Amino acid sequence: MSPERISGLSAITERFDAVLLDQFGVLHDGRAAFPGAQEAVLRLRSAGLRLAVLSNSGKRSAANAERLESLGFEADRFDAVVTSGELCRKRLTSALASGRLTAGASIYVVASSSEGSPLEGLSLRSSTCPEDAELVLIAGRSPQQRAPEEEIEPLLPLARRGVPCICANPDRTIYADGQPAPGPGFLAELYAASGGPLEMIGKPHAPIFQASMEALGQPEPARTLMIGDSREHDISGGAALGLTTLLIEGGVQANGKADGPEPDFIMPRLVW
Amino acid sequence: MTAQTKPFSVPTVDVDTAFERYEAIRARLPQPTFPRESRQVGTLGDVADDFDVFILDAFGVLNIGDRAIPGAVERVAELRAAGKRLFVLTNAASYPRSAALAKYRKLGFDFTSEEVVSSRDVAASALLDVSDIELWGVARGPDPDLSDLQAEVGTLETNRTLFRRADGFLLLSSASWTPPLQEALVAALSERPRPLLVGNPDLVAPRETGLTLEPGWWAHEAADRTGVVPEFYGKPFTNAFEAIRGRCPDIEILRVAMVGDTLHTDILGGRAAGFASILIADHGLFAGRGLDSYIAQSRIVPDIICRTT
Repeated sequence: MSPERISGLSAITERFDAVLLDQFGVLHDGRAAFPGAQEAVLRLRSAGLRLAVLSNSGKRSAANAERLESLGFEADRFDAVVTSGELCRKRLTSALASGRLTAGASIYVVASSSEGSPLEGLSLRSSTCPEDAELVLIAGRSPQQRAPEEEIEPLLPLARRGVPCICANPDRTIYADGQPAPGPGFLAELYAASGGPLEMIGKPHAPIFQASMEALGQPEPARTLMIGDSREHDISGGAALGLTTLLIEGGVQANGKADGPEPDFIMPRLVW
Repeated sequence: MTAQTKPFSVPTVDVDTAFERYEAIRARLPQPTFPRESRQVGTLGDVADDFDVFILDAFGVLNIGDRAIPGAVERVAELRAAGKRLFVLTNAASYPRSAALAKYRKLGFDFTSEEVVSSRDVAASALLDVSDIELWGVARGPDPDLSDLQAEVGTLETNRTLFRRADGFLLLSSASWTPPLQEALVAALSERPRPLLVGNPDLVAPRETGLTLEPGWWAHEAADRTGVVPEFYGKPFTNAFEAIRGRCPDIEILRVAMVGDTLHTDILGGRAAGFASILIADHGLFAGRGLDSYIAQSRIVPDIICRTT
């Protein structure tokens, strides 16, 4: 079925009980909120819908909530901010509890900064030395600071030794100052291609959608709207769980192609 | 080492010889890291909460020969009832997977076809990716059924002209392999090096009479003598584990355990695939034989040592 084009959310909100919102490219572009996005969120809220932000950010939820707040989206407008970084944190906490990772274990981290790190406050050591790493965590990249070749080189011997890798941001392409650059997902795929065992956490994989639905009290999937600008991550991933999907055409990943299903709705940008 | 210099005088070997041979070919195996020490527990039930997926070796974990290990059928049922995903990963390549499945069913296990991965399947799917080989010479053992191999194949044991004619060799079973056949293979590879694929990387298998020599043993011996680098399919090589990853793409990597009885296949392979490794100590290759000394010598340290399944 071809997607229905709408000009504003108000036309369809009564069909839904809950909304999952992608962050980057839907609410803001990393520098400022998109015009109309703040109002749309506010209106969804006053219409009584449950709202969650669902983001492939390798940072923890709190760090993302703070960033949203600085861009004009106050924290109390969302029932939950679910990030792949927070999910990754849960994995690490559970691995420490089960003894799969020992207290003080060395984790080789690739990230854009240490702020909001999934390791924050855990008895795990963030290490830049690959020798004794028990786990690799790819949480983010700063394309301006380091070339991907520089980052992948120390990872290759770890991949060959079978050190498990968790990638907390599956994005293959990221946008720095509006320019596309290889993303953390790109590094992770090279890791896997070199024989390294890899777990990707984040959209389009099911666990982050399941965590978001849980955070919203398990709304009915068909009465839950996934709004995103990536066909690959938001639309395919949401549709796989039976959610209704809305593609924001004017987002940062608007040109991305995917073989997956068509969205149910299309809108140029997020407006009420 | 006796078995290396006079390989044909020993149809079976003892555990120490097998262990030494595994150490000698270590450079051809994956090179994972291991924990400093192992956690000791009684049964798999004691660590059930710590994992979502258990990959089980068959021999020494589920069965010894034709009998189930006491309590193993019940443990498998209990893990399944707790919502665990279970797989059997076996380096059995002498017969198709359907025969392996039938064997586990007969022992009382309820595994489905989807849950059983044999190294023979892994090798068979590798054949599909090789395009420039028209005829394979196969060491197949006593089972004549090669219908699962989608390639032009002939049996080395019964057709000696294949040593000359085949474009590649596939060792599935050594049950009917003999020293003269091995000499013919070595001569053929020396004269004209060709791909040598191995559907069971194990060096030895425990039988009533002792440890028999398996396809891995013969392949390493041929490699030592000819310089041909064999391609191994099955534990401890990661291709065996990729088949399982493909069946459950969204698994949590830190909540998967490989359970087995052999250090150089199950434990080393499980770690190389990024999983936790659990050694079952009371049955299988090292049962009653001073496991600690083998671990200390090889430095292949399991994450968890479990007395029994």
